[in-house]
Amino acid sequence: MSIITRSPFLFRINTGSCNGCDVELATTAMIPRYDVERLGCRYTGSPKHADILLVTGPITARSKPYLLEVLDELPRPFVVVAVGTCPTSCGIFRDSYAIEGPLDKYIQVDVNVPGCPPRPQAIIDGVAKALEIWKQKIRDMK
Amino acid sequence: METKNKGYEMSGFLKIAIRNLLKGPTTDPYPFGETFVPENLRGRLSVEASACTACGTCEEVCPSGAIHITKNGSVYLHTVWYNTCCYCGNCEFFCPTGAIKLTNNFHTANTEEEKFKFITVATISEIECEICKKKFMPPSEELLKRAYPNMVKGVENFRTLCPDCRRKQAFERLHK
Amino acid sequence: MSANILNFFIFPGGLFAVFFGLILISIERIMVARFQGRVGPVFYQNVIDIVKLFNKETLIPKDAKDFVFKFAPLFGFSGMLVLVYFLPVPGVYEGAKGDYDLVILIYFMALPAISHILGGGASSSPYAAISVSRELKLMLVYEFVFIVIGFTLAIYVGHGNGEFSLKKIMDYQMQNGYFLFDWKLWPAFIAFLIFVLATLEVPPFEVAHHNHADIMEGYLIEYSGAPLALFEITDALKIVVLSVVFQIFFFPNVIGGDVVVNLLWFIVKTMFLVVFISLAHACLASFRADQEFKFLIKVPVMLSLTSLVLVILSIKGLI
Repeated sequence: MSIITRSPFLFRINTGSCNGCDVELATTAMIPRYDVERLGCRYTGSPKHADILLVTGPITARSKPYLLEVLDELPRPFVVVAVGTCPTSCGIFRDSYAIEGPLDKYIQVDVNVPGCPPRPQAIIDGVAKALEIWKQKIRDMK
Repeated sequence: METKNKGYEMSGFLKIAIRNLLKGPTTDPYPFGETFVPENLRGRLSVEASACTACGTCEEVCPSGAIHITKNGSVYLHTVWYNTCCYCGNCEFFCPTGAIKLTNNFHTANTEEEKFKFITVATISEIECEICKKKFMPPSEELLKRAYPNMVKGVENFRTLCPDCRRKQAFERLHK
Repeated sequence: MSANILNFFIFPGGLFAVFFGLILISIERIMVARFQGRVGPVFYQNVIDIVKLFNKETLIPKDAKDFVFKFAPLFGFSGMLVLVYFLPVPGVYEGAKGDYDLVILIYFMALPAISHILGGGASSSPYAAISVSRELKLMLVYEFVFIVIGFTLAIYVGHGNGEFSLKKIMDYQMQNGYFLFDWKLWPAFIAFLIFVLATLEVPPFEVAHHNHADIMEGYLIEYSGAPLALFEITDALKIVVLSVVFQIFFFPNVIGGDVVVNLLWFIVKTMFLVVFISLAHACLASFRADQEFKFLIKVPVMLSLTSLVLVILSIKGLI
């Protein structure tokens, strides 16, 4: 059933980032230079359609309830990708009073793509690695 | 009020669409081919152990605390954890010997299992003094060139004798 | 060939129409990507999407109406499946012969929009509610355009009396010249093309669903898994039905009597429609809801009424 992993639907959520990583995510989808639709991906507007969740930003205290709601709404099987240094380990904002910690505390992350911001080619690398892990999860679910 | 917003102004984009169809796609071929990497791209760090003296400047200056220098017996371990490095370049700017540099390697995606193994370690060991057999950290070649650019002779003493023995030798040379 | 149960399930209804429609949607995506300078997906991308959607779990929100939520996609799906079985394809398939096909066509064409409205209304989400209200407003206008076009053709073929059988419309065109080249029906042809864009929810008429700017997927926002796959299959069937209707109304050209040759010619004619849809998708921006309503009330309604008036005048012998 490996043909299923050729059409992932992406959903991205910004938990208080500086928008650097979001600009890079927008370029991988929409501008002709780093087209991500060649791999069969498509951006969706609803977390209930999503297979790969892309998270940017350190989890600020204000955005934590919204992130927890989105994490409840993902249909299994799915993979989580942390884009940028901030959700991986809070980067330069560690031990601040407004940051609620790296993404590991709330859900099991599958792929980390550090960088400030990571290059679009590195994000495509991360998505390709996430597809491999997704294939493994589908096999485990059967 | 809105005159141009009605969707009738499509002649401008129609020319672009036909031109795109005739010329072919302009997509970067990665990951199915090679991609363009500029020279000054700020990618992963690399530490050259022979030039480092474990002074600790990079650890002070790093804003995200990615660099740690620890001592294990008589060996210094210089560790960089890539998952929290923010690729600012402070360490490269402030390093006195030029031992730590940012390469243009942008492949930084790693899975959760290797999250805490995504590090690079450099070992800098102390050497023994020839006279009193005590361990000390020698200055590296780049540091000596920067500190004493015009001296030719006598510089090699810095790398073989500990500071106390060097002081004794200089005193004996002048006052014996 | 005439209609029987095999036609309902395999060819040209059922499996053939579903796969053909999914491949047409993927080709439309590839054409839009090429117009924008990108590469685009593989030609069978939507088939893989449907297979993947059947493998995910279905989540139902707590405040949603359970029965309506789960069974809303079946209205549109069954309506389109019946239409593909009913309609005659020129040269390939005779359809379920009847004397009132046109009226059934007009009724069933509105069913997918009804299932969108039911599904969106049953999910308890404010995004879905806004999208449902926009869709209701716009459905009134473009269904009216389709009814006027159908009525115009019925009067023209019947010389004053209504002739509602699709087979007789096709035979009239074989004898007296195709309606594509008849100057009295050119306004109706342009109105029909605008109707095709509006009913498929392709830009510039994208405001009710999938525009990602303010309502984030609209009425489909709470769907996941198998019901979502049924909505996508309904979309695929709709594009096949629209292509068949386009050929019956305006250009039922047949080459010889061989079924295979006529099938290939049918596919070629469908490609022209797909190229037009993707050109409009790539070049035009999307309307707002009130701009779209004003546009649809003015342009396609006036054009189809113009055609109706010209047809009535020609029957009375004045033109």
